[in-house]
Amino acid sequence: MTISAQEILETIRMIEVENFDIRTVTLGMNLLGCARPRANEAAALIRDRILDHAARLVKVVDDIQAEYGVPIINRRIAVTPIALLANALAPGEECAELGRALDESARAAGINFIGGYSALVEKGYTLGDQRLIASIPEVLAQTETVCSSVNVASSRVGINMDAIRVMGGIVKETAELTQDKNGAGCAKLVVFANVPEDNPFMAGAMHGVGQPELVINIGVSGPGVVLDTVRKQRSRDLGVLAEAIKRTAFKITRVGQLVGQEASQRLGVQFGVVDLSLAPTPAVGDSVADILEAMGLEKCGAPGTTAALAMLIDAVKKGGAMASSYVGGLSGAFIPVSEDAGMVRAVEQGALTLEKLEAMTAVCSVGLDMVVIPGDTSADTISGIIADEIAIGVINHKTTGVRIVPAPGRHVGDVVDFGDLLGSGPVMPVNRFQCSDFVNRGGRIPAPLHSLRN
Amino acid sequence: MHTIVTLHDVRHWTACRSVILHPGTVLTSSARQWLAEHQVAVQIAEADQHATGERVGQPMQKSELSSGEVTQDKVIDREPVSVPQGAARETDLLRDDLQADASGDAAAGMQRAIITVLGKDRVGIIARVTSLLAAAHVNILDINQTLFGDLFSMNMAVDISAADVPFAELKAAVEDAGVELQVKVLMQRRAVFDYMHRV
Repeated sequence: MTISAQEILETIRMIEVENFDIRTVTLGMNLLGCARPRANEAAALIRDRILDHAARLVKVVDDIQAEYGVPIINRRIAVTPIALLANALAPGEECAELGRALDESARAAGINFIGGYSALVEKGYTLGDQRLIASIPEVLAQTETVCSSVNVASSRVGINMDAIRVMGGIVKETAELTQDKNGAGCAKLVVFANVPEDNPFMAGAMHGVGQPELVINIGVSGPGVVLDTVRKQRSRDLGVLAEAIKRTAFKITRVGQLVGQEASQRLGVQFGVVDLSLAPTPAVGDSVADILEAMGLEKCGAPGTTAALAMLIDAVKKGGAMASSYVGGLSGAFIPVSEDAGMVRAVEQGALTLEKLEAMTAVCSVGLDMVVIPGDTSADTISGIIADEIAIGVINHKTTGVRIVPAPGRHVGDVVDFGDLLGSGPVMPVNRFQCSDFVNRGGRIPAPLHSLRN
Repeated sequence: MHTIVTLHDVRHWTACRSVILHPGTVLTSSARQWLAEHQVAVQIAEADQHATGERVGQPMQKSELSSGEVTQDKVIDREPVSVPQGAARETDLLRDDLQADASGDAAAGMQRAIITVLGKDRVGIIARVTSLLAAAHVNILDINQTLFGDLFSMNMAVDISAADVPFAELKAAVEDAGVELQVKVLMQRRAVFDYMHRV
């Protein structure tokens, strides 16, 4: 089959003009074999294992990028939830040492984020979970590349409110320990409901227990390409627009499938999934908010935003699912405020509030993402915000997460910068009424019915 | 009960000199540092202490404080210890349920059981069972007897909180008496009926 010149130009235009890229090739890695009672022994094994594979990952991905001419932005590693290894540690051994080992090996291998400093506690803590969660603020303050996530709820078992109460305190403490970086430690910490165990995107990546020894997962991207499609369909109705978005999503995901297959073959590692998420970056034109605005909203956050987002992400999923043999991870639209220039603008102009953002997360993944709130927000209020978002995920049988930064010493209207990767965002106002008595009740909210769905 | 204590929690403990936490509690590094800076002694309770000690998770009594300047009252005013509530909460909930179901006859501290006797009527069934209960210091709260023709049926509500033998022994004793009398005797904790029949 011959490829027309027009088709070749379309691909080149996608890459050169519309910021199309493969956002991440993430190697999932089982570390259970590194569990040891002594933290230093476990840490040494972790370092060896990661360095062993990471160097090959970087080389192979560089080669693929060069050969196919498709930018692949990140090479990342997701590991077994470290809480499982923490269970093996003898009393008195420091869980944080395992976190530092992840950081050292990732940095040595040139990997910018490593995910899996994680615990799954939707039903309760094991001793290892406890030790891990208590060490999160320290680890996020002492390391650069380590990402942490805690699953506090699922549609199957309900919501662990004790854990949500604790996570409010952990988020707050992480912000305080990373005060010099505007609380950037919190940008590497996600509190999840229904966490996917094969998600390639940070900060929520981990290598869950049902996964193989090693696995390659791909995160595609391309809000800029979708934006261009929407702009070309200016006066068409939404059915036609949905069809056009589907076609574009197919093309984008197809490249992800190709890169995944190649990487998997060259590394001799099983191919896991392509995650279809539309992931924005701070770069101009790489914004999900811009797509929504191109669909006819004056500003992202205006009435109609939730409906527009629902239609967008559904079309992306339909196109993507056709293009890849295995789809997984989060597969939704990310709406991280600080990493999306259009979102930042919408917040600054008062179009987008925390409450509207919460409503939007009911129809897309992955929840309240990279939201900056005033530094004086109480831990209980943060727990309340987390609980609301988690409830949306649990009741709607979908993943939701909260990545929220109570920027120390910052107030509503300030703009807080977290550096190139994490962007910068305006501090958003938080409802000033208290929820302490609710949060401090603790306990578990029972799982919802799986029928009677309305 | 496993708990994690963050800086947010310990900041409420400014009035404490010393805190005992539930077994298995883990503190974050900032929390540990804060407690050290504010000279609050922390002790993690032993597992068996947890089972019996009402004080776990509560600030220590004034007399146990190394210095008397901080009192327990101050602490309680602030309701500081949100940490170890889980286990206690759950038990309270059960107890509330039972009390609600007890139609007024139960006071805290009672341990109620139901004894059921079924079989062919004959002289001395009640006498035999009740004398056995009296000897074991079991208080009879209520008794209900019916005859369906020849069939004798008796239900007895008893309080075994003051009994000087364990439940299992008492149960075996009344059941043995039943064998002697050629009737069927059952002894069960009251809660099973409450749970089955009260929503």
